[in-house]
Amino acid sequence: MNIDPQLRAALSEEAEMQDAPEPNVDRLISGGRARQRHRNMIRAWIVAAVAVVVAGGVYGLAQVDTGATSGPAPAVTPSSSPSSTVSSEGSVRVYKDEGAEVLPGRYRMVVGLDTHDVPIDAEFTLHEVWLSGNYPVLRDAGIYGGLAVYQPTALSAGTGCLNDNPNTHVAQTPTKLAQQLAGLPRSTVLQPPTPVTAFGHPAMHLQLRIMQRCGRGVYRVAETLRGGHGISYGDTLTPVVIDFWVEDVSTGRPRVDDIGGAPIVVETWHQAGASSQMVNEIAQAGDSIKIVTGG
Amino acid sequence: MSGDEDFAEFVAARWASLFRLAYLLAASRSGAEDLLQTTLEKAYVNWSRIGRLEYPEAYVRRMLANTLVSSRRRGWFRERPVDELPEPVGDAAGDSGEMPVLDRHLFWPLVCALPARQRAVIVLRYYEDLSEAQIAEVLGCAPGTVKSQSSAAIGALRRALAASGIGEAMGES
Repeated sequence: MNIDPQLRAALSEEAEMQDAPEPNVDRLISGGRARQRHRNMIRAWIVAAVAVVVAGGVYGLAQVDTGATSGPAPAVTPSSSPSSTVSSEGSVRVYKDEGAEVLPGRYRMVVGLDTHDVPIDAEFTLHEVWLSGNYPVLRDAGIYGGLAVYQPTALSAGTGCLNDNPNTHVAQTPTKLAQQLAGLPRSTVLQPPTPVTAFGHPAMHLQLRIMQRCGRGVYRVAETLRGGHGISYGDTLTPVVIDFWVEDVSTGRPRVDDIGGAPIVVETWHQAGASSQMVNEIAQAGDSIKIVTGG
Repeated sequence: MSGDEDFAEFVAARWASLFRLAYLLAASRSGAEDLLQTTLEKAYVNWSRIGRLEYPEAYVRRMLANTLVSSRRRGWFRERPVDELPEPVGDAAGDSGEMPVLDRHLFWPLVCALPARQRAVIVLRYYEDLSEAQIAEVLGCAPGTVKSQSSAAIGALRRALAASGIGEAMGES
């Protein structure tokens, strides 16, 4: 049975039967601009990281020169700069959203930009093997959870499912953004927005339960500079419990008067039925988050 | 004409055609809209280069397939592949005993049930009329991988048709 010609005809016919919806060119262009900013941000971050590595290398060489009589110099990398690749907690790796697994360790990712287009980074520590995605995801016995740090460019709207356009009018203050998050589609507020101090900054904390089921689709919490952030993983489409901390990272940072765009959101989440070990690992990873501003 | 205007004109002119390809690749209308949105956002970022190509649409069509496969690799959402392809709907052989016509109602659910990468290969081969070498270039893999993916997809379609008796009706066990 040669099915080639019939398959060809069937695909053509199926395609021709589709009436395309009207394009939203403004949304395409604004999305394209957000990607452009993200790309520029990554490039700026790589340039800054390379500069630090080069500076560290030069500094190391200087140590070798001045201490030539005392044997090989130890590897030296400046650790006081916020953009250093090594922190006091040990080696910090750049988080990559490629590959299947994220090994235990301390990671750093770009999560936003301040008004001077200087990257805002987040550092975090994972103690177990996580899965890679736009943000790291943890899986245990078919149950998923994760953490995310982002400056949202759009928030879930409509049904919350991916096929509904997100709300691009993101509030620019932590209080208002926390209120917007409290109204995410198909959510129940478990903890209303409350002022707290978290991750070294004043923040608004809230906790939601979200019904994530979207048929064959996925529930998208936010669009971010790293891409979409969704919570529909695996086959267990039980409700998801999410904690949000909406951070005002500008306070007490004289170099950054206003971070520009939306505040930074720190988020930990897990599907209902997660083991206490899994919840603890996610909480530990959340507790380890450090927001790094000022390049 | 500014870059934005040029891009907007391209989108207005080619949207429907791109949507149809996105629909076949994504296997759903909502998935097609999302895939097309993502792809055109990427195209916008590089529009100063893409817009100068002789056939920008051809380039964007390839970006669609590449974006689909890349999104599955990055996977912030996971596919839920099925173990077996669904039974074709309807009675292809009919009561007449004549050679059945395998129309879209029979084929499309089977194509939808293929894993994304196999579906992309099938769509690029049979809808876009690309060669194996071209498909390999679009998907960023070896031609041998395309061959094996294509073979696996066609095999799965044949098995699903045979299981429903359509292969037998066409003279094959």
